[in-house]
Amino acid sequence: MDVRTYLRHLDYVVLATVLAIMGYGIAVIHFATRNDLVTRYAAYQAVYAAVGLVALVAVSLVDYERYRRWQWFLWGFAVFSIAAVFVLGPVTRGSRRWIPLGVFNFQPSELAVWILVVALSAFLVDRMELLGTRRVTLLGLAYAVVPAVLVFLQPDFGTSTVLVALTLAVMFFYGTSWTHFAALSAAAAALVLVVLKVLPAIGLTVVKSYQLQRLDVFLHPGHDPGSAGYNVTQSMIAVGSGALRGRGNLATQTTLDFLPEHHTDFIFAVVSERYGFLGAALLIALYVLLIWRALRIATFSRDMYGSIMAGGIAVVFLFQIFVNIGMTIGIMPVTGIPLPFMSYGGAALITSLLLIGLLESIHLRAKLAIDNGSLIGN
Amino acid sequence: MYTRRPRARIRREGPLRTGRKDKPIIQLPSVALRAAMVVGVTVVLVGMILFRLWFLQILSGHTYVREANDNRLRSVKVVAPRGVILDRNGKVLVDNRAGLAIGIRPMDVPHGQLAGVVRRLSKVLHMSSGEVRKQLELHTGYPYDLAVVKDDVSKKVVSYILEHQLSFPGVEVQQSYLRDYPYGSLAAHVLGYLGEISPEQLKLPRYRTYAAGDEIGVAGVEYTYDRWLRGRDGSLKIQVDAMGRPKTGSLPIGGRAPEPGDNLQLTIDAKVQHAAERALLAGINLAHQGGDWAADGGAAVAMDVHTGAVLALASDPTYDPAVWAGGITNKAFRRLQAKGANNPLLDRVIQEAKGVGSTFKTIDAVAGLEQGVITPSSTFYCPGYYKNHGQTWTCWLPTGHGSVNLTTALEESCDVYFYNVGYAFYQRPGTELEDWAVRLGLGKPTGIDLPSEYPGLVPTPQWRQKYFTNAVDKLWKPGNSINLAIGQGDLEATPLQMAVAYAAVANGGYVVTPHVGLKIVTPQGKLVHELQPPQPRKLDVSSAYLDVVRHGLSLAATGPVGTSSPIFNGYPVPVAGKTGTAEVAGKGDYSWYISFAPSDHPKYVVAVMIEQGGHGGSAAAPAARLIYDALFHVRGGVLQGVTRSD
Repeated sequence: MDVRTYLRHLDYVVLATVLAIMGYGIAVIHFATRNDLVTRYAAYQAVYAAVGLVALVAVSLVDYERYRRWQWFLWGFAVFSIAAVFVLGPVTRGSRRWIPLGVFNFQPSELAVWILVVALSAFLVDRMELLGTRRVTLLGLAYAVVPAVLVFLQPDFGTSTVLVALTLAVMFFYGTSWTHFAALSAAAAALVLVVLKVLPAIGLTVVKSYQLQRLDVFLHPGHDPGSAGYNVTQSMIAVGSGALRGRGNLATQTTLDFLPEHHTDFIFAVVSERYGFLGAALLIALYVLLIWRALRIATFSRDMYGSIMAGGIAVVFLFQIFVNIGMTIGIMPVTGIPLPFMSYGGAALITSLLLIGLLESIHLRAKLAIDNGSLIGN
Repeated sequence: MYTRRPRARIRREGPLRTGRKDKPIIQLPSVALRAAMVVGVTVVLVGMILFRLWFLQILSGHTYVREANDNRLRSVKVVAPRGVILDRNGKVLVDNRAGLAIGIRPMDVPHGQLAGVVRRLSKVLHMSSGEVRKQLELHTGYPYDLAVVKDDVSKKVVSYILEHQLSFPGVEVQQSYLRDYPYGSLAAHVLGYLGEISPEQLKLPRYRTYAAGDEIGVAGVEYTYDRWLRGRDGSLKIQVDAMGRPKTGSLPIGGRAPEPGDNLQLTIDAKVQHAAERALLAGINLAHQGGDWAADGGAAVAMDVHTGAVLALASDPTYDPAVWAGGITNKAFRRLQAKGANNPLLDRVIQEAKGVGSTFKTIDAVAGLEQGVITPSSTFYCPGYYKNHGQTWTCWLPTGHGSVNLTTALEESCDVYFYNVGYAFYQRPGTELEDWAVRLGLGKPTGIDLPSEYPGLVPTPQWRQKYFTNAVDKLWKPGNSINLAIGQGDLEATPLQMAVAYAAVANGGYVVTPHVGLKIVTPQGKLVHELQPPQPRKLDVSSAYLDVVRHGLSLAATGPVGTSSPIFNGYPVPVAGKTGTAEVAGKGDYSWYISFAPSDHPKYVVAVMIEQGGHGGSAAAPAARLIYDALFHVRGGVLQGVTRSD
């Protein structure tokens, strides 16, 4: 594949959308942190974005068909590296999430999102003949549950829910029957019940107390605005005070530090306060464009493997976006899920760009297939 | 249904073709359906987000803007400088000066270091750790507010703390206003002092508009005229961050400038006041010289007989009100309360009522004449004693005054004359003598504009009946009337009450309301409010009778055998006045002198009382003369006490 073919077959809508969101994000991070003690977040984020874009290109160049062969290796690497965190990772804020590698910190749980998209889809596509059987549903679940539980135990509740959402999405696009989905939903509900009610009753605590507290705050907002509910209350004040056009440089919730985590988890509140409803709606429109494009790639793919992965990626983004924005505006509980391409953080940004690279790869292979006549397309 | 059908074909991994040849987009039908479902879910979720954003930002936006502003804007109190207090000639008696206060901002003290900071601070500020902690506890605001531990800290201590800032994390220096007294303790009892408002006081209606932490007048005119003096604190809206710290470099936003308090001009004349205070010391000194070693305190008041304007109000021992500036220390307060200090906080002019001795005879004279008990020419024979109902009362002159009329009785202070008057009243129905005492201002507060005035007591049969439990004690006996006539027994009157009574005699029967407040003026000197005391109350007295009484009092001060003649005979200003020697249970005699001058056209009344000073003429009357020196600009001669009189 020469450069011209490559450039001709890229999905520029996806690329442009992602670049736009990242640019938006870097600008907002700069605004949010310019009065902080450390003001170089925007510059760092730009570096992460550059690294991620290189990785994006690299991934897009690889024919994803290869991942089917590397499936077990990738899965093993994900599980092993996450497990290694428990041994090698330093404890920060009560959890072990990354492995120091000198130049940078490697966060296996974020990479696991990308790996699970690739590996689980491969695992299922390899068992296409089992579609509709209970066996493949359970096998697929077992395949995904190992890394998800490990991430949950780090503990990284946010990423583990992303992995769960991703698993369900991939199985959804694979074509798992509705009855199995119904059973899965029931099982998930039962699991939540066991984790939150039964296990504490018998003296086992799986969920950390701060997680329960966040859930309590979500269910009873304004209950205790002094401590646990403070973040949500301040976030809603920030969002609400933005009104239609935003407060611009007078966005005091952000600049005076009332809004916690203003450059990471609560960045959407900064957008809403500074740029108002119009700025927030613009960002949401960009996300909708991205999701629509990912779904379009899913429906327009060389093969089933590509479709499943693209669909999974679309849902992963949708899930992260909804949970993060929902938390910011008080309609979802507080979880540590970043806003894709916006929140400050190298691991999440690079992982998201790797997923975009995968999307581009799927798009590219479909176009190539049309080119050489194995696929009829426009 | 779509899940099953394409299975066989997908298994071959071949791509699917749509049935539509005209638009041959390659699609996987099962994927297409599911993608469409995800689109549907996306629409629903995005719809939820947009609806919520619309609700938060468009519908409730203004509410949240207000909340955001409440978050970032904090009101800081800007203390208004308190009004200055001036004497009648515009001399500044109480001023303000800038001071430095040391406080702790609890939020800025690193965790676990508070105990160390408190310990080090207490050492530097010469306070106990407990006192510092108490100040911190009293401060019930937010942890980002400054809890003032000590006001008016010396520059030396402040610079020490600033130089060792690392040992004092969270400790800050703040500017403050403090009361300053250019004349030291001068007129301390008139001026009073300030204190922080207590939680109990905050509940009173008087302090409705006050806030915790406010400084209020606790005593003197600082108390009475607090609402004018205090001004109105301003506020400053500053922008703070989430930790409550003022944002560096940001200018104050809005707020209200403090309105300085209005100035209070007093009727007090600093010169006369100074003379009165020195006169008390001189009186005590004279008493000591005359052998009354126990003399240890006194009260003096000089008042305009027509208006009740007080030119001097002195009480001894006194105190330096400056010890209250910035909060009195426990040590200083204990010193004021110590037994040997003889209660310097007590204003003996209005808060101490005792028997008034012979000075009461003026009231006997007025009452006797008005009730027809005596006439100006009535005479009684004084053999040096008086017998009644088997009891004997002696006159202060054991050899007796012989036959005396009213004016000579006043001149020589003949006790026997007034024993007769007292007994005459006893034999009459009702409480005529007591009523006259009350009419002249005894037994109830005079209404002076100073707090905590003691009403005193004019004993009556009704009072005895109520006050005592024993049947014999309940009875009003002749002795009660006879003792009252010479200002003894249960009678209690303050020097100020006696001054008011004598002023009424001097001014032709008007009972004035004494006052020290003259007017309220703005800091620029513009009149705000003329402090008008109530109109003098006119007594129904015959001016002819008052002439007689005044004549008697004039003789007492200047006549050949007047009790205070040695002091006032030959004095450039004709003085009329009555000495008194009051017996006080368990103590030496109290020396009294109540007078007015010039006796022909009275202008001022001067009342002096020296505790345990002995005879009226030996301590109080000479002290009074020193006050007249100041009132009439007389160059004083050699001061000498008289031991011969009562």
